[in-house]
Amino acid sequence: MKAKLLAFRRSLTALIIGFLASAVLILCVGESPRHILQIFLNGAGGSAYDFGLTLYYAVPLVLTGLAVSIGLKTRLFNIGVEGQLTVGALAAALAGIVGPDSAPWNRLLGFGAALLAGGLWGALLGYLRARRRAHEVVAGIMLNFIAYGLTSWIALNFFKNPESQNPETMSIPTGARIPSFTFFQSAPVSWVLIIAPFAALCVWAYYRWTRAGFAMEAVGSNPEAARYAGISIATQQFWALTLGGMLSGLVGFIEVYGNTGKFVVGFSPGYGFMGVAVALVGRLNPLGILGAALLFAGLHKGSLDLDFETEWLTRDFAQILQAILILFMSCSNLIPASWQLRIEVLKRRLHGNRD
Amino acid sequence: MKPNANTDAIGSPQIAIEAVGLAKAYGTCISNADVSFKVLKGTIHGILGENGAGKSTAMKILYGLVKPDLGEIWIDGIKRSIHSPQDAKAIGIGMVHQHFMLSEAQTVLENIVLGNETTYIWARTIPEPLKPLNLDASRAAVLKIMAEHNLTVPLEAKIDDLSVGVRQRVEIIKLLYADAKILILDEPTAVLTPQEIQDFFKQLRILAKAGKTILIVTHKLRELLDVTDTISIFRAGRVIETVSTSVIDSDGLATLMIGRRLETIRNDHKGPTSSKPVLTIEDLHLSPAPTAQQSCSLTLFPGEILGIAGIEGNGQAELVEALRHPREFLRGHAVKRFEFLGKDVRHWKTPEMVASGLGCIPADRHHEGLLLDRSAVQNFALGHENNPKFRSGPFLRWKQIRAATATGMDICQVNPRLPDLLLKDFSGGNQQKLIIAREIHDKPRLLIAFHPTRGIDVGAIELLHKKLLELRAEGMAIILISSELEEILALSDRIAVMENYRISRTFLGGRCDETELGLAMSGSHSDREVPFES
Repeated sequence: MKAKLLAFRRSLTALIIGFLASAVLILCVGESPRHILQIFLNGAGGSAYDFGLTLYYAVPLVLTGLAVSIGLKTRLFNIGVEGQLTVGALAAALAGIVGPDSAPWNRLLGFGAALLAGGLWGALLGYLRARRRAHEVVAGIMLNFIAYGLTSWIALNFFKNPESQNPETMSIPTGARIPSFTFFQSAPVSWVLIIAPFAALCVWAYYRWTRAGFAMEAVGSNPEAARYAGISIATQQFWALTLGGMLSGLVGFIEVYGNTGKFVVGFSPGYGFMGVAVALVGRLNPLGILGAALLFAGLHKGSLDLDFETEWLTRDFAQILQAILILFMSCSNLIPASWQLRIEVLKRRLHGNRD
Repeated sequence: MKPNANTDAIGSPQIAIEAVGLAKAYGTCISNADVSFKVLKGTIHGILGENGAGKSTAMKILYGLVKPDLGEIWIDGIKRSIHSPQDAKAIGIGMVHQHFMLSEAQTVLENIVLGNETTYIWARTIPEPLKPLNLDASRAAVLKIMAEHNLTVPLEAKIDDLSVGVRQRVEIIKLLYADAKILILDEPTAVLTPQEIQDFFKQLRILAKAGKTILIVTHKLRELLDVTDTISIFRAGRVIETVSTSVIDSDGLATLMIGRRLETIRNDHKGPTSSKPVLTIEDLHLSPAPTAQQSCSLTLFPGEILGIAGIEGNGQAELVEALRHPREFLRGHAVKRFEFLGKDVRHWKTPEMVASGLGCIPADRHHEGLLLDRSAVQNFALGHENNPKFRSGPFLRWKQIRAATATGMDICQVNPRLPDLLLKDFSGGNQQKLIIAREIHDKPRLLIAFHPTRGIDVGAIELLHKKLLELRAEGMAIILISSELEEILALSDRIAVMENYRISRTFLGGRCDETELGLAMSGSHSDREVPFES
């Protein structure tokens, strides 16, 4: 528990130092850091609408962050999340289109289809990695390309919306779409939002309470010891990628049922890749990932506003600021440790040795 | 050698190394609190201490691998700050690590000159990395060193083909070639047979006479008494005393080291408690490419300790692997009979073996036994997550696991008794005690103890030995694999010597001595053999 608090404190320190460094950079380009911070805060949560948009960006990031983190738990770099969520979205859309008109059944079918399709795509990667010894990064990237091509082909050749100029499928029944919160005004935040914290909770409980989760964590902590204890590393890796695929597939469900109502080719602005940063900044901890996803979503939303509100700065600059923060967060392990050790030695010196 | 090599002009002894108040902490863990000692030139100085007493850290500071938080180092009367091994080498300090750092594919000569290459005079203008080596010049220099110090090694042989004893000599010649005046040897005897150790000590004495200062880091008391002139004893990050070897004995050293007297522990040789074997192995091929003679057979009864002596890498690891993962191992290795508790277990996986009563203390606890970044409770579940007491359906019952951990920690005196402490915050000895607690908590029928006392201090060893004998008295069958002959001799009911992937000799416990075992381990013969099944 103490270690976790320490890790949290370190992340926070890193975040603050990152903000300070960003402030220096902002001064260098001749802007007021206070002004910029204001824009960011206003943009991310200034009104119910703005905050709604932040939440809207955060939800997929939570899921992809979790998906990546499960892979990293077994020391695999799951870069295939992007493909898995694309497959999941198409599956959800198709299920919605062909499914029954009754809203609850349609939704359930869509949910199941997204979970299953994402899971299968993840399982394919898991099989290649665990049983065929393919490198998960190479295989993952290739599967992303295949997923992109395959989904576009299916969507545009068999289920294309004839009335639209855009590369998208027909819509699912309007009644089956999940209603938005009115609280957030016109921001596209629907009830699917709750999937994110619920998924984080499930993942947390999986690690904490189940035998399978424990085995997975053991593999991540020390593969050699896990093998010695009779845990099959290949099996754990397979399941880690499969579960990651299922979580990624849910992003597709959220997109289709909670937002657009159809499969739009290229709908993801790179949720899968941002998931890597979210997972790392969240330190693979489900609760940390919730926080990190919110932070990233806020930064993303804030950076959009930077374009409009300032004379000089563009969205690119906001990306630089994001990068600085990530950089500091990822080396936050270095920050207070050396100080602590010095203080501790001096203390011992003063008090003498007690044993 | 010049008679005054170790004294200055007036004839008083020179101080080669003086450490003053060295301190170093890792995080909140204080490794060295206040380390001060002096070593006279031309002496062999022992650095003794329990695991975690701070001796390795102190040596790393001397060699520039670790930067001290506080303190000073004086070498030959000059204050030095040593920031890297390069600095250390420049002022004549060399170190042989416990695990040798030789490039196995290269020849002995190439290894010796590595880092101190001689180049041709005509190559002066060529940039440093591209200069061709003048191996002939180096060879002459190395031969001179070998002759001076009576050390011989085959210069053209590949390191791969050499025994560990010879490799160690190569390491030492390498230091001498780099003109080291102070040699730090970290656990130098860990991998040597008793005979090799004696030769090695002789060579050390010759080196000391020639004016080299030698520091030996170890926790083996007897060896220090054999070879050193003075000994510094570390306890809890401090040097509590530096004594002259001539005025102290092994009991005195142990008392200083752990702060109390040690008990002597011996097996009473009562014999097995039942005649129904726990384990029967017939003609198991352990070697990856076995010849006809390289098969291993053994039978083990409840209530006996079978000691397996042997130099590391002669099939012990494979034997454990076979018992731990029968199905996986036996896929590539032939066996005639492989029975555990009367059942053919050739197709069993680890969880089945564990469930029917196999406990295993792994050889390398950090690699195979523990999750260092997890708590003691979580480590207690590792390998036992299928135990019906610990699970219900797909879930783990942490309450029960925690209770079992607390009990286990009490039984094995794990200190501190904090089930939620991360494993890396326990000392090596306590980590080992926790593994033992885990492996015996379910009363296994067979316990494999593979190097159970490696790298842990005498206090913990004492406890562990007592525990093993207790378990044996309760009817557990134990396979004790160790390279510490003392341990094997003190605890075993029967002793099997493993050499070249087979059991080459067998002895009854209490009926053989260290010399005999040592000879058998190195493959030589002796005629006082006792048949295995007596």
